[in-house]
Amino acid sequence: MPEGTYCNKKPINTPEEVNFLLSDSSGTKYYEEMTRLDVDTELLVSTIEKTMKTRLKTWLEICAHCGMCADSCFLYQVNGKDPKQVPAYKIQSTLGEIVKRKGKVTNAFMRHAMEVAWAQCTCCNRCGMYCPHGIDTGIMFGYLRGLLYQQGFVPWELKIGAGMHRAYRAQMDVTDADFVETFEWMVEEYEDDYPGLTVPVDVEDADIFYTVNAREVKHYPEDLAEAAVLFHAAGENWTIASKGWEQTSLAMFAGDWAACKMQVESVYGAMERLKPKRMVGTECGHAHRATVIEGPYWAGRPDGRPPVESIHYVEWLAQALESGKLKIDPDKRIQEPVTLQDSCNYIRNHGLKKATRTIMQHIVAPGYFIEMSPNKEHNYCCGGGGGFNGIGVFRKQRNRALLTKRDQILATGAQLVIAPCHNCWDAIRDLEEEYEIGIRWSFLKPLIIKMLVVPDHMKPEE
Amino acid sequence: MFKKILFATSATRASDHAARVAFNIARAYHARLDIFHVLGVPSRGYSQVVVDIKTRERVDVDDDYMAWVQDEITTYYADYLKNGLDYDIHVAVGLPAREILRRARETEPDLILLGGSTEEEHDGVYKKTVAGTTLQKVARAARCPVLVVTRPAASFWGGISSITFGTDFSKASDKAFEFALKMALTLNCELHVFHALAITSLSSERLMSQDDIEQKIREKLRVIRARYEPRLKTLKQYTMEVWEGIPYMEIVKYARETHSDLIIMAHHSRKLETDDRAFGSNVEQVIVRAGCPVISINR
Amino acid sequence: MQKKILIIDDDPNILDYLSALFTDNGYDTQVAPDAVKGLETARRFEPDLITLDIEMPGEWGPRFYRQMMQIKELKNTPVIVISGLSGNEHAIPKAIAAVKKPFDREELLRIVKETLG
Repeated sequence: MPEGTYCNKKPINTPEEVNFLLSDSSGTKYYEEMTRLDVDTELLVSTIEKTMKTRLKTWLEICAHCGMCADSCFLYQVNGKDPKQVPAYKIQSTLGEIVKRKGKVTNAFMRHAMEVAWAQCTCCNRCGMYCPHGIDTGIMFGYLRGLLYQQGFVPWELKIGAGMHRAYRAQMDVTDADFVETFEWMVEEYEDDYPGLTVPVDVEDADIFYTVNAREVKHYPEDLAEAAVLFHAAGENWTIASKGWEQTSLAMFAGDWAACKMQVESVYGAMERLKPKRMVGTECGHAHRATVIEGPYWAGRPDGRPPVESIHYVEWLAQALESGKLKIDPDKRIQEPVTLQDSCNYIRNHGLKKATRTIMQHIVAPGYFIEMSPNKEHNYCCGGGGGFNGIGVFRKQRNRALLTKRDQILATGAQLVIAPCHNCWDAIRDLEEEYEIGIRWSFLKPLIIKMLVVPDHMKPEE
Repeated sequence: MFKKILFATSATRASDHAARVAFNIARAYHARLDIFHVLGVPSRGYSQVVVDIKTRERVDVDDDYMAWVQDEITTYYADYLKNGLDYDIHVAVGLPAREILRRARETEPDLILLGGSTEEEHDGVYKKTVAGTTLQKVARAARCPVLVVTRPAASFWGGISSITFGTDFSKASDKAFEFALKMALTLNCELHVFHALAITSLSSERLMSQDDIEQKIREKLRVIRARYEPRLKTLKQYTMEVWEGIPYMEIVKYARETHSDLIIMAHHSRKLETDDRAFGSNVEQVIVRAGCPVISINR
Repeated sequence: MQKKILIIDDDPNILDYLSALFTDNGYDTQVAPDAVKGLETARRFEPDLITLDIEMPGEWGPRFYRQMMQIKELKNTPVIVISGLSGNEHAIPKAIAAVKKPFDREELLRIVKETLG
């Protein structure tokens, strides 16, 4: 059977198609159909010819098989140093083979490649820092995922996730109206405590255009209120957009390049429409990578940058604290051992290590902040990055992958973990559920609000 | 009095006593009952997996599963649902407090009725992520009165005929008084207006002398008379009382003495001050201790 | 002198059964099928003990109890709650005992004897 009803090469584009795929609980039929899905060799070859650029070709060829990347990979370490988990092997035995065999690979090979691409690499890019040739396996896996997606060999949840972006321009079934309505609801709920709190919608020429993660709208809307409170407290002139508000991209995890482009163009569209001074994204790592770092290339922007200066939430927060726009009550700073989980996507991909450490200096009483080891750009992936968190068929592998972060956290002795990234936050949440090590975890916003010196104009009457 | 009641239930034994209150009140006052159950908390990133609130197992949620849970609830409450009760059953996925508030925003009920939650029985991972319990958060943010039944003692024992209204003379208390008065008039109940004089404050450990206490009690009684009595005169039976002690204890004791089957209080400290799971404010202490349902009103 | 027990319950079988049980054990009994009749009978009969059902058509047991507490002659009369309703021990906090249906007759008699001496 070439194409299945559930599992096929066709992307899903509408809410109906999303719901149809969702109706196949856990993707049981989807994966069953996948075992009979044809490989379109011609398409594979022509795609490689058109899209595989010099850098990737060179990387495949010059790899000296020295093995320096092995120990840099947390999945290699956490899986008993299995040689099959050496980054160079992982990419050579998948993408390398496809290229070498000129696309003549079997269905079984593609399914194996799918497992390697999504369960043996989180695209954390750590190996790239240790390779003498500078080969970044994470980037190559990102590319391989694109080839696999095109052929229909993609985990069920990510086919849905990419479909969500196509159907809703959001990673979940949250409409533009839902987004604005939820934001307004949250502001209503908080305005008694913070008089004057508002959510400006579609205001042109604002200083800040704020973008979010659809999961905040769907499940954790307090996060929206908290963002509003902090912008308000800092006296910022900010706005949200009623269209192009979603910063994340499960399409990037899925390798659905066309959907990546659609998604990021919706955000850039909002930037061009509203002409803000800059964009601030929420506490999410991959959203930053998608919208700020990779997005300009997907959208074909000539300067390789988004239409307006775009920064991660931690950058805005660090600036607001440093400039005194936000003031912290020193008595309310964190006074217990606390550690920090930096997202790979802003720490290695965008060098934001200073921003988070500046924040720590402001919000943690001296002596209580304990770095993980290793840290900053050498920090390990949370264990659930690159889409790993959400994929049911690879749950066992993902749970094992959490052990690295668990042991890093345990070694700090901290019971509070700050994670300014949805993916890391989810992974740490799950690791507490799986391994029960007695930790709490938090985004920055709720912590800051608790210790904020509330400006007089924001104090409630009573 | 109540046209639409949102009954948020775990559909387990923890909610049984609240259920008795919900179904009996809905029937007695011809209200439409919106039975609402949050079946699971999101888990595993962006996947469809949730942690089932009842079993603590991880389940894949799809339409079939939602329908199955809905059937389970119908079966669980089958005895109550007979004889033409006007009701609706709705299930959702998410963090319970948030989803209850979301539902309330959509349906605009006159009353939210909350039972004991399964949170007290388990120590689930999810609640470490957000401060406060479901009860606290709903009571603080709801736009309508919230009736809470936590102890079996606070279950339904035959209807509402005697109401204790606890006041601290705040603006929010005035709102709560309006509601208490309306309820007493509509349901033809006795209304007992009560103020508890806190004899110690956290700032000073020093106890007041009994002369001072009694002087203050007389003052507060005059305040009650001035503020509430003109309106109370429309009622068949009412009393006014000021006692000294720990306020929440005194209210619980007073309600027991007056055989009250409902306590109404204002809830005006809306901020979540701590991550502490223990109830902070007076009304929250009354909620967990009272021998009858408590309605909290925050605006 | 014979001690007097008033039995209030909406179930005629329970009334018959309890009445027989208490009479056989040397008590004088009267019965009432609901709260209103219960109060009437109580005023007239002036019982030494009352057994009270909780859930009844019209007014429930707790309402009866509250009214009874306002009558000088009755306010000190001990009450035993006999009900099938779960949590019935909470229904009337000042009841001297709460017995759950179906009940153990020996246990009930023991409580009655203990109370009436």
